[in-house]
Amino acid sequence: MLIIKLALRNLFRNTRRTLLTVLLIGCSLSALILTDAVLLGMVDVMIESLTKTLSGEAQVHRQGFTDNYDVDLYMPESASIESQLENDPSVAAYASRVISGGMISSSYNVGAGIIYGVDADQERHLSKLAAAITLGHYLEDANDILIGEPMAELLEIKLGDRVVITQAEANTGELSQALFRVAGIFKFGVRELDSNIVFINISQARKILGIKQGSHEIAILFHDVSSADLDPTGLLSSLTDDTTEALGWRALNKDIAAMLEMTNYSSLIVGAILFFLASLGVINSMFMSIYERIYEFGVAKAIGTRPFDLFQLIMVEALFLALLSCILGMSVGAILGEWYATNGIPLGEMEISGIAMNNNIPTVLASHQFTNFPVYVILLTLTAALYPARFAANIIPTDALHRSL
Amino acid sequence: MLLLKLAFRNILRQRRRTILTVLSMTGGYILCCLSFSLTEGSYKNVIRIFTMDHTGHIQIHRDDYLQRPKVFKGIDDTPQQRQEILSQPGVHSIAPRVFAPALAYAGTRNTPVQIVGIEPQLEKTTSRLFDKVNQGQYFDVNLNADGYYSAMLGMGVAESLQIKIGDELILISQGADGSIANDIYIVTALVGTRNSWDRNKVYLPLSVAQEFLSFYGKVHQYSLLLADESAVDSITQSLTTALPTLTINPWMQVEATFYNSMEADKRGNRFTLLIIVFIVFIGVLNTVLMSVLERTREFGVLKAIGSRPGTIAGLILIETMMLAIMSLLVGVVIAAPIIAWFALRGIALPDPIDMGGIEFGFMTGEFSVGVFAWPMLLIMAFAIAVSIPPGIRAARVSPTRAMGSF
Repeated sequence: MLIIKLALRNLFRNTRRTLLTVLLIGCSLSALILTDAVLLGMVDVMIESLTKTLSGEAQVHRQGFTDNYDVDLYMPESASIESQLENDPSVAAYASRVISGGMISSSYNVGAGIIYGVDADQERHLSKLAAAITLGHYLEDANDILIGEPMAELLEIKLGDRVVITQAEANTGELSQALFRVAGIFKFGVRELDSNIVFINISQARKILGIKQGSHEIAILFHDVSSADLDPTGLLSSLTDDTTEALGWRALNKDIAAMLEMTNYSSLIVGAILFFLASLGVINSMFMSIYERIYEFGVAKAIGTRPFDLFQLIMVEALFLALLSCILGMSVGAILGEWYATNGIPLGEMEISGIAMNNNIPTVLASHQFTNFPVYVILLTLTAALYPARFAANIIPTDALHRSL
Repeated sequence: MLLLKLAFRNILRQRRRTILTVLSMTGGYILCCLSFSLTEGSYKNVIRIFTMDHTGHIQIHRDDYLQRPKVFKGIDDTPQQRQEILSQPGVHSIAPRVFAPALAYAGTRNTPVQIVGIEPQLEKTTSRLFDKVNQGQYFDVNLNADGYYSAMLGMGVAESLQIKIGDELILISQGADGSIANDIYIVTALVGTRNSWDRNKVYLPLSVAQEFLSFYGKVHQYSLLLADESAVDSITQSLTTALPTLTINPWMQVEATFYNSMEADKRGNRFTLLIIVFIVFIGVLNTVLMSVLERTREFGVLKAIGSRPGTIAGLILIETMMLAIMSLLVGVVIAAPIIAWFALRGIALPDPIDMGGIEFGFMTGEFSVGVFAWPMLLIMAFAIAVSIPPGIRAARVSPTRAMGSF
């Protein structure tokens, strides 16, 4: 108890120094919390934009389809897969798609694109397509086609105009054409999707390709996004065999998954640097406070205080310093983090791995930022205090009393 | 001189404190240099790769072809036109190009492609296409023995069509006059990889592509390489005045998404650095303030014997600057070899990141005066700022009270 009382008194003898040191450590902690919150926010935005826009959290394909989107590699028995998905408790929504490359021509121009044949009802629950329509309406009639803004501009078409799709039939390669009416213009805000993809009804898509039944892709959304990694009901593994494969979004987007791994490292690097710089500040200010009191320490030792007691005193001072800093750092981190969580951090226009991040990134506060990080800060401060504490413990009374006079 | 001597003695009085303060400033400085060098170097490297690979430093189009590519928006391609562009100071080489979307067929397979019509000899001087031929022969403009022209395919097209060198390729597209264009070509070469920019391209000789598209004597684009890539802005300016009827697009517009992402990333980096330096200087402020407080008595004496407040504030400023300069010297000595290593060797990212359509796979450093000088200015500015409050405090010391305080 005596040590605690002494330590507290010592800290507040030079309040300015204590405050500056607390500010130093506290700022490091809040910078760390915010860095982590921004990174978490970016990751969330990326995953959300990746999975919720169009591709879903998992997809089922014929083996080899994703290599070069060969039209011939469709799943003729997609209906039975769909009924299996229907009965799986972890699945929130699924959508069957027929995907093929083709030429889209208007009376003014021609463009190459990817033609998605989708089931209008299923797609409404899976992707943001219905919400992304900026002009016109969603797929209703058999001959409706939805076109992205940049492609509509390229083809110089407006609502109600006719476009012709030219494709080769599956298996035979025979050329086939079909006429569509532009029902809606959409904008996902993702360049690659908006300028390359058009949507038509799945029945029409099958007809042009000469496929009687089946589809190329079934996209899945789960109730909980982690199901794509954990596969709790064994759904994905049961759908993977010699002919079909079912993969979660991480496996489908290896480059993005790798990049998300890397963001963890960058958090670690920033943390290490901040801690290193902060610890120099801690050592420095502890030493200053010891030098100021070197006479006192000399007296304390001369009247019989053991070195370990002095060591303990300095360590307890450091502990209080760390605790104060944690309170400051956590409150600043929480306030700023909360503010930016609603307002978002403006990073400017960014596009990474085909994912556009044009809006402000909302920060994401997580519990580990307020449990683990403060513990690191306390441990760091205590480690930094070891050197000054040892120094104080080893003070030789005669020297100290002599020097300070 | 006296002030300098005094300041030097003062900072050496507390060696341990000086070393620790210098160390934290050094840490901040090295961090700034490294981050600065790595971002500048890596981005310059990426920019060099894609400008040399296919975009060129400046592209010339007709009207808004860059944003809205329509087949009919062509530049009249005459020898005089090319000569006029090439004669502009700083322009190193020029490559005329024609583009059109098409469907490519081989056997029963088909895939959407982009046709690129190029002048084989000029293209060699402007892009890396010639070096990227990994199977077969770089083509020429002549008919072969059977009366077919040759085409070069990107790897992605070749894989989708499962086509080999010597096979027939059928292209179907729409001509500039609205007619249906189709013809047969012989594949003479495969270029790039299945992930490179050329994956969905079919290269034809310029005159062949013009004939195919009924686009006689016109091109969609001139791609220019400059002798000095940093002169892009000024040469864009001079080309704009020299060619008022055409649109001059520097690479920043051609790869606008990448450029914006890069700028955003750099802004983010600068902000992070600023925060780290700020934290470093809270520590420095602490040290300087302490050193002033513990010398209150001395300052009192100095004032009593006639030193002016300005002199004392100047003393504190010089002391802090000395600390900063020492840190910078140590910092340069440590940072230089590290940065030199990054500049010479660089590190490859485990997985390349796609940034606004440009692949970013390699981190390399830049070794230049700016990389060392800008962080120096930053540290010096902070050092001056941080010496002001303690300086004012020291200057305001009242001699009687200071000396009375033991």
